[in-house]
Amino acid sequence: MNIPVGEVGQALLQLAGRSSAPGADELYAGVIRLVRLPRLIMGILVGAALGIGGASIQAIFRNPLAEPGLIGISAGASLAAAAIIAFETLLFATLGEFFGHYLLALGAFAGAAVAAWLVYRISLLNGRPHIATMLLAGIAINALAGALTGLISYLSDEQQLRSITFWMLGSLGGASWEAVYTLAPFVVAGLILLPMYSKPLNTFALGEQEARQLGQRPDRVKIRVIVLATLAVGAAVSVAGIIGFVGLLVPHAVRMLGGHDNRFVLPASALAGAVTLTVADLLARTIAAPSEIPIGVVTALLGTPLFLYILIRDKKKIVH
Amino acid sequence: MLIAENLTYAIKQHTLLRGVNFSIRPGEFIGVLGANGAGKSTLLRLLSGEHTPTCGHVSLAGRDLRSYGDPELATRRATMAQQHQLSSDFTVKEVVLMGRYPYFESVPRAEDLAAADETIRLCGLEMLADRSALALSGGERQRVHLARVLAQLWNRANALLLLDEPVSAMDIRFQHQTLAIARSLANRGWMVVAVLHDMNLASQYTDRLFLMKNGRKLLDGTPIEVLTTRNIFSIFAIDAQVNINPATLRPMVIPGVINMDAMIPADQG
Repeated sequence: MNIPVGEVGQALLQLAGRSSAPGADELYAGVIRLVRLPRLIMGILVGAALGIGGASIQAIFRNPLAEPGLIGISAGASLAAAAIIAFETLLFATLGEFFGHYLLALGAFAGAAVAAWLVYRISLLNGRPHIATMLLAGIAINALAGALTGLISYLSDEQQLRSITFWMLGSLGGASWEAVYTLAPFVVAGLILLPMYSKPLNTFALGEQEARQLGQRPDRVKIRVIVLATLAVGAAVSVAGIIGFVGLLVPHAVRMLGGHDNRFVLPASALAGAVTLTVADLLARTIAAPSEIPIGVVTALLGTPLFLYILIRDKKKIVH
Repeated sequence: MLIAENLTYAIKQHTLLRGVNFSIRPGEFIGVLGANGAGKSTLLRLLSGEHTPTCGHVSLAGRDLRSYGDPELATRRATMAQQHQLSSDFTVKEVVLMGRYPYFESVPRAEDLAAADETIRLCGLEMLADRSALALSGGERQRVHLARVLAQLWNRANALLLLDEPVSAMDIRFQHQTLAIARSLANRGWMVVAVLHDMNLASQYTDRLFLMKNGRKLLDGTPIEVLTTRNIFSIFAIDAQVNINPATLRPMVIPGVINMDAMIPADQG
């Protein structure tokens, strides 16, 4: 639906209670209030969660190639989502009644949390998370969840397969105020609390021993940051599906532009993630209107060239 | 004052350190010498509180090291590790400022910035301050971490500075400058312990030498007491002549010639 710019302004003013201008079209206002605005806010929240989650996981793993998917969040969410889509009619019929349309989101969130928890449990060495083991456990859990998702896809019919594929490509199409309210606490908690660990995350770059020498508590920080990132990213994935690129490349772009201090990188990644996803969603909705391109496709198509441009421009700074 | 009594440290069946007694008081600079694998780094890790001894205990200023909280301990002792692995592209200034992290919440105070600036200058890094720490040579990187650990204890009285092979990659000028810095800080009341391999450097700058062999203390004394042909042979299994350096009046070790010809098969090259 194409809403004239003037009407958008009117509708927003009306929402804010500033105007009761009689000229405002009720239909336009309704669309903006119930569809566009929650979608915009959800895009901002999801993008911010993916950006800050990616940046903090990269700092924990001391590896710029790390992303929240590495500890099983995406794979766990995908598996749960695929299972719910494929078996909904059989297994979850009664549950489905109960949870309504939240089932998919709740299931995906649970899948993300369980996968991340498993990876974390396996990585414990003498009660401390061991990062190299966590990486390997993440790869294993990802492979296992991927295989199970593949098996479910193979067993599902045409319609289910299409749903699974679309879910995995990501979309903000499911936006509603309810989804925003469910998502917001997890993301806002991450946005407020994760930057508080910027200093310890900086010292991680020196190694965990050095971090401890500097009075930080690497084990505690690791656990808390992983929990916060998992909650934020898991919640984002559960409402929007898998949206690639943002968690991995946005923090990179931010670092290339503004340096590596996490006191800057974490908030800036949240902001850049939010902007990226908002723009990507705008394009996803409009390029092939009235149909929608999956947003995961857009973020990759949009982000990769930009990233490659920065990469080529700054190559000398990165390669030592 | 730092006192370590009967320190033993074992990992599984391997006892890396056995019944070591060690002490240092404010104003002292102690060099730790020993062959590879003698337990020097292990001793430093126990003194820094990074490892907990299997047996025995360490006390700093009369309190058991384990009774200190991590943030408190970070303002009393700093350790420069043997190897540094920086994983992120921080600038030299940013790395040095990390040494001040125990002192500020999120924004460095004026005195934190001043401390970082002073140690950067002290370590001859002014020209490199805004460069990426990853883009530096090995010796330069060592100086960056030296500046960082100095910043961590800057303006602290009776601080404990632990250096594990701090000069291993530095050129001769900075080797001497680094030990001269350690010497001056000890003169101001710091306690400095440095693991060193160059006996002449150790002899020239330290008050006391702590000789280790197979995880035990072999000798503990002034350079002139400890650095003898016999002791050097018993630790490193090399012949060396010990003279007195006329400029410093400290022992000067001159290793004898070693010939490995017989160990290399004739058909090599």
